[in-house]
Amino acid sequence: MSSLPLIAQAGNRARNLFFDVEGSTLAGDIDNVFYFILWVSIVSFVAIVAVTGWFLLKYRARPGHEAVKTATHSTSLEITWTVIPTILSAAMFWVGFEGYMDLKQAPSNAYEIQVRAFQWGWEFSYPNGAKDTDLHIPAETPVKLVMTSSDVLHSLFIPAFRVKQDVVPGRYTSMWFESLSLADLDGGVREQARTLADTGYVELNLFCTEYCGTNHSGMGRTVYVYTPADFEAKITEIAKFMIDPAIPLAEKGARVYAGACNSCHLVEEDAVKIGPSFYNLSRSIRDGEMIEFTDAEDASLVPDENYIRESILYPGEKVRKGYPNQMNSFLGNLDDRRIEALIAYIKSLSTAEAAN
Amino acid sequence: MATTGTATPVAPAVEHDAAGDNYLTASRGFVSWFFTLDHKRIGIMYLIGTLTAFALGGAFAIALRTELFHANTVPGQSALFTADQYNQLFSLHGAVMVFLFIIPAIPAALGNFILPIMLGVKDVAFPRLNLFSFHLWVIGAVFFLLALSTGGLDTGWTFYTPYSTTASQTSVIAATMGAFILGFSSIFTGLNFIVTLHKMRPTGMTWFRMPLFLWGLYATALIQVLATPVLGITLLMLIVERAFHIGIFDPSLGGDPVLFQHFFWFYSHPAVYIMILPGMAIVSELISIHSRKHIFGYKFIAMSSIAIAIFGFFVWGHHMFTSGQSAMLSTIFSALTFSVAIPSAIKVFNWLTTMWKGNLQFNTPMFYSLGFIWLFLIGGLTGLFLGTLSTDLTLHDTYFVVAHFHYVMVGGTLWAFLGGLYHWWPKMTGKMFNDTMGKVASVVALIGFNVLFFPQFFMGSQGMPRRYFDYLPEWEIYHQISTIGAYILLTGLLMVLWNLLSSLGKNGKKAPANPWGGATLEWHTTSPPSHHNFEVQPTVGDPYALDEWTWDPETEGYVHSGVAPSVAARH
Amino acid sequence: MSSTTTAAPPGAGNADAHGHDHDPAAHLAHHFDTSNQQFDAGKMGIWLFLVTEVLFFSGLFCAYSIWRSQHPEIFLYAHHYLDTKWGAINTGVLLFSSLTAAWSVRCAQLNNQKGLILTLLLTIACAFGFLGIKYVEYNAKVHHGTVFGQYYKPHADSVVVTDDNYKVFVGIAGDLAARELAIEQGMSADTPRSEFSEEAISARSVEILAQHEAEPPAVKTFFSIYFAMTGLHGIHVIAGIIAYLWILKRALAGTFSSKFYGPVDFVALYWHLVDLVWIYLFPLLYLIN
Ligand code: HEA
Ligand code: HEA
Ligand code: CUA
Ligand SMILES: [Cu+2]
Repeated sequence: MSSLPLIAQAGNRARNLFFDVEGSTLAGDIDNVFYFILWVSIVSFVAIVAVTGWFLLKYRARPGHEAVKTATHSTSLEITWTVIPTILSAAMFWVGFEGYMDLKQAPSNAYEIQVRAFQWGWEFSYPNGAKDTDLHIPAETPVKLVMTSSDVLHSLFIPAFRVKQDVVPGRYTSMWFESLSLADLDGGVREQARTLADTGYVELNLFCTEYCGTNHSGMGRTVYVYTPADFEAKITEIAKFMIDPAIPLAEKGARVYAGACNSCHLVEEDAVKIGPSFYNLSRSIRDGEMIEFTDAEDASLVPDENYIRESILYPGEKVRKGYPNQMNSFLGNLDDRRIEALIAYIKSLSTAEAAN
Repeated sequence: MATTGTATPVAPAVEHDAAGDNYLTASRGFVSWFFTLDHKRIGIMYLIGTLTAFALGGAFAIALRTELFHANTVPGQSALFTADQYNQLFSLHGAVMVFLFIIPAIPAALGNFILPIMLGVKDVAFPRLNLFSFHLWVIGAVFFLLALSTGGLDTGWTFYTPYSTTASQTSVIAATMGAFILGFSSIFTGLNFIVTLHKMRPTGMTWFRMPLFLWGLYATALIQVLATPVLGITLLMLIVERAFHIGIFDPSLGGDPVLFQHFFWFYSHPAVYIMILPGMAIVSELISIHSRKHIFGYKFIAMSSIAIAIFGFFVWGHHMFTSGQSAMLSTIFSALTFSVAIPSAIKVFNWLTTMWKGNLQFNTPMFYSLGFIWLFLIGGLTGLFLGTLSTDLTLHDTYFVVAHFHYVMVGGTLWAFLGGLYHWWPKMTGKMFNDTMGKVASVVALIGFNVLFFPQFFMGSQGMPRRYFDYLPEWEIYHQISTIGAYILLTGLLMVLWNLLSSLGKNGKKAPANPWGGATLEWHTTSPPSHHNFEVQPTVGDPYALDEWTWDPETEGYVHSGVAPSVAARH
Repeated sequence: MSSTTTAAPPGAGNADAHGHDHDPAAHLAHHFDTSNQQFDAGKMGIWLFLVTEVLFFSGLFCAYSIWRSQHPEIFLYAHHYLDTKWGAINTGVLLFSSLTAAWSVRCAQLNNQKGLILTLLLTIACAFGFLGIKYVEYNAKVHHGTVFGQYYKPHADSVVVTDDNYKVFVGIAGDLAARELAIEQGMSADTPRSEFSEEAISARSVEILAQHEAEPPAVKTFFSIYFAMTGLHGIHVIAGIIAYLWILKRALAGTFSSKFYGPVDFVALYWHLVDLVWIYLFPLLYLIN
C-alpha cells in the first residue's frame, strides 16, 4: 500500500491498485473523478470512525461515569450536515456528468468497427471486409464500435479504456474511445501479455460484462493495439487470409476455430471444457469409430463431414451422449467457406500428427 | 380484511393465562404454532424460516467462494464445479438471500414480534392476513426448493430478459413464481403494518411520539405496498412470456428486452431500501438505549426514513447506465441518486451526536450498532462512485458493485438484524445470552467480513467482472484473500448461532423484563410477554426517556422509577 | 359512512380501559377496542389493497402505452379483430353489477336481509355473465387463429382487410369473399357465408387479401397484450366471484347487519375496482381510431 497512487501522476499510466493501465484519452479524466470521490469518502470515513473511536474512549461506561443530558435537537446542526453533503454530492454529479458527455459523443471522424456478440464470442467486422474474433485497433485514432447481438444481452468492456456498453439483440448500441500511443500503453498491462518490444503491438483485456449464460466468463478476448500503419497491414492480412489460395484450408480453419469454437471445445486429446474434444472427434473420423447420442433419431453413427456441418448449423439435432444440449446454432454466423475450413482443420487434428 | 368480521378463537380476558404462562407456553403442538394468529409466534416462525434461508444462501456463498479460490486457467481442471453449476450457485445465492432472507428478515420476523408490543396493543390489525403472509412465505420457499430440485436457476437474481425467457434451460418459471408469491407475502405484511400504525396507536402516542423503529417500519411498509405490485406484474409477464412466447420482452417477437430492466429496477431499487430502512431503524433504537442517551434529532431521523422511501422511487435507472437507455435519462437518474445520500447522511450524524456525552455500554447489541455505522458508511460511500455517471461506466458489473452491495446488505442490514436479534432476544425468549461470547463472535465476523469484501473493491475497479466462473490469474490473490475471509465470517456466524442457541438451554440465565433500560413499551411487559402481551396496560410516554429507568442489581434489570431522577441510568 | 350507521361510540375510552363492546352482533375481534376502530382498519386495509391492485395493473398499462406509441399502426389495424358489440355488452353487464354491489352494501346497512341476498345473487350472476361472454370472444379468437405471440396464425378468411395505411376498414376477408361469390352467382349480396363451402371462401379470401395492403408487422403483439390484459382482468373477476360466494354464505347465515357489514362493503369496493379496470380496457382495446 506504500505507493497508493491516489492522484494519477502525469506520465505514470501504468496499472495500479485501483486501475488497469490508463489506456485512452478519457481514462485519465475518469480516474480523476474516481480519486475525487475517493478522497471525499476517505475523509468522511476517517472522520466518522475517529469520532466514534474517541467517543468510545471518552464516554465508555465505567464506574463513576454517567450520561449527561444534552439538547435533543439542533436545527443549525441539522442544516449543516444536510448542506455539506448536498454540495459535495452535487459536485460529484457534475464532474461525472461532464466525463459522461465526453464518453457519449463520438467524434465524427471516428473509425467505425461493427461488432456482433453471440453466445459466446464476438465478431468484429472492419470496413475492408475483414472479420475477426479479437479486436484490432489503431492507436491514437478515435474508434467507434457499433454493436448488436444475435441472441441474448452481452456487454463489451475494455478496462484499460474505462468504457463499457451493453450489446442488445434487435437494436444497435455504440461506444467510442481513442487509444493512447503504444509507448503509453506499455507497462505490464497484462501479466502474461507479450511485451511491446517483442511484438510491435500491445495487448489489452476485453470482457463480456453482461451475464449471458454458461460461458459468460469465457467471452474474454484480446484488444490488439497497433500503430496506424501496422493496423492497416493487419486488417488487410485478415481480409485476405480467408481467400488466399496459398494458405492451406486447415490453417484457415484453425483461425475460425480460435474465434468461434474454442470457448467450448478443446483440441487436446480427451480435454473437455463444455463440449466434446475436437481431437477425439477427429480420431473417430479417422478410425471410423462410432459416437453416441441422446435425443437423436440414430443412437450412434460414425462421424463425417456432414455430421460436423449439421452440428454447426443445427446443434440440437444430434446431441452427444454425456453432454448438455447447449450449443447455439451458427447458422448465419459462419459461411460455407469457413465451415469447410473448419472441417478441414478438425480432420487435420489427428491426421496431421504423423506429418508434424 | 378477512379478519375484521370473524370472532377470534382466542377468548378475551376471562380465561386468562395462569401466572407464569407466556406466549411460548400458552399452548402446545405444531398446529398451535403453524396456524396461530399470535403475531409473536408468527414472528418467531419467520425468524426461524428466514435464518434457515440465510444458512442456505450462505452455503451457496461458501461453495461459490471456494470455487473462486483458484483461477482455472487450465479448463476443466482444478474446478470444483462446472460453469453451469457456478452460474446456478450465484443465482440461487442472490435470489435466496434477497427474496427469502433479507426482505422479510427484519420487518416480518423482528417487526412482527415487536411492533404491536411497542404500540401496547394485542396484535396487528389483521392477524389472519398476517398468518396468510407467513403461509405465502412458506409456499414461496417451497417454490424455490422446487426450482432447486428441478433444474435450478441460472439467470442471476435479476432475471434479465431475453436470457431468462428464451435461453436459460433451468427452472426459471418455478423460481419466478416463488419470487412472485414472496412479493405478495411482503405486500401483505406492509399493508398490515401501515393499517396497524394508522389505526391502532394508543391514546397519547402521536406520530412524533412513535419509537423510531416503528417509523422505519412504516417507511419500509410504504415501499413494500407501492413497489412490490410492479415486481409482481413484471414477474407474471416474464412467466407468461417464457411459457407462451407472447413477445413482450423478446426482440425476435417484437418485444423490448430493456423494458424488463426498467420494470425490474422500478421495484428492486426501492427494494434495497426495504432492506436498509428497517436496519437503520433498529440502529436508531440501539444507539440511543445502549448509549443511555435520549436520541438526538428525532424528527430528522424519522423524516429522513420517509425521504429515503420517497426518493428511492426515482433512481432506478442508475442500474442501467450502460443498458442503452438515453443519455438524458441516465443524467436525470444520476442526479436523483445523490438525493438519497443526503437523508442517509443525516441519520449517521444524528447517531453520532446521540453517542456524544453518553454512557456507552460495551455490549453485543452496541458492537453490532457500531459495526453497522462503519460498514454501512463504506457501502454507502462506494455507492457514490456508482451513482456518478462516468465512473459507473467502468465500475458497472464488476466486483466493485459486488463489494458495494455486500457492504450495505451484509455490513448494513445483516449487522443491524443481528444487533436487533441480540437486543430483543431476552424479550423474545426470556433468556440472556453470554455477552462476552457475543462480542467475541461479532468481532470475528467483522474481521472476516472485511477480509472477504474489501479486496473486491480493488479487483473490481481493476476490471474483474462479476458473475465470472473463471478469471485471469492476476486476480487470484485477491480472490484467495476473499475466500479466506468468507471462512472467517462463517466461523463468526457459527459462533453467533452457538451463542444464541446455548442461551436457550438449561444453563441460560433468565432475562429480566428490561435488561437494557429501554423506555419503549415492549420493556414494560414481562420477558417473554404473555399471550396478550400486557397484563397491565402501559402508559405512553417519551420513548427515549431513558432516565426514568434505574438499574436494579437484584433482578439484574432496569425498573421504572417514575419521573427522571438525575441519578438514573447507571450500570 | 361508518359514522352514520355503526353503534359503537367513536374512540371509546382511554388506553387502559380496554373497553370491548360485548355486543355479539358487532363481531368485534379481541385486539380492537371498538367496532369503529375495527371498521376503519378494515376500510383502510381494503383501500391500500386496491392501491396495490392499481399498481399491479399499471405495469400492463405502461407496457401498453409504450407499444402503442411505438407501433400505433398495429393497434389501429388489429382492433378491428375485436367485436365491439360484445365488448359493449360486457361493459354494461359490469356496470350493472357495480350498481347491485353498491346496493348490497346499502341493504346490509339497513338490515334488509332479503335485499342483501338478492343483490348479492345478481352481482354474482352478472359476474358469470361477463365470463360467459368473454368465453365466447376467446373461443372465436382461438377459432380464427388470432391468438398471442408465436401462436398468432390467422386463417385467411378471418383476416382484417384495410387500405390507406390501415385507416380504411374494408371488412373481414371471409365476409368480403362471401359477398363477391354471392354476387358472381347472382345471389343476394347478403347471402349468409354458410351457403358457400369453406374452401371456396378461403380461396377467395386469399385472392382478396392480395388485392389490399398487407397487415402491419407484429400484429401478434396486439393479441399478446389483449390476452394478457383481459386475461388478468378475468382472473380478477373469478377472484371476485369467489369473494362474493363467501359473502353470500355468510349473508345467508345472517352475519351482516347495520352493526356489522364491513366485509360486504370491502368486497364491493374490490368489485368496483374490477369494474373500473374494465372501463379502461374497453376503449383502449376495442375503440381505437
Ligand atoms: C441495502 C441495500 C442497498 C443500499 C442501502 C444501497 C445504497 C446505495 N446504492 Fe446500491 N446497490 C445495492 C444495494 C444497496 N444500495 C444492490 C443490491 C446493488 C446491485 C444490484 C445488482 O446489480 O445485482 C446496488 C447497486 C447500485 C448501483 C448500480 C451499480 C451498477 O450496477 O453499475 C448504484 C449506482 O448508482 C448504487 C448506488 C447506491 C447509492 C448512491 C446508495 C445510497 O443510498 C448510499 C447513501 C449513504 C451514504 C452516502 C453514506 C452516509 C453518508 C455520509 C456519512 C455523508 C457523506 C456523504 C456525502 C459526502 C455525499 N447501488
Ligand atoms: C442479503 C443478501 C446477501 C448476503 C447476506 C450475502 C452474503 C454473502 N455473499 Fe452474496 N450476493 C448477494 C446477496 C447477499 N450475499 C446478491 C444479491 C448477489 C448477486 C447475485 C447475482 O449476481 O445474481 C451476491 C453475489 C455474491 C458474489 C458474486 C458472485 C459472482 O458475481 O460471481 C459473491 C462472491 O464472493 C458473494 C459472496 C457472499 C458471501 C461469501 C457471503 C457471506 O456473507 C455469507 C455468510 C453466511 C453464511 C456462511 C451462512 C452461515 C449461517 C449460519 C451458519 C446460520 C446463521 C445463524 C445465525 C447467525 C443466527 N455473493
Ligand atoms: Cu456475453 Cu456475458
Ligand atoms: Cu439502486
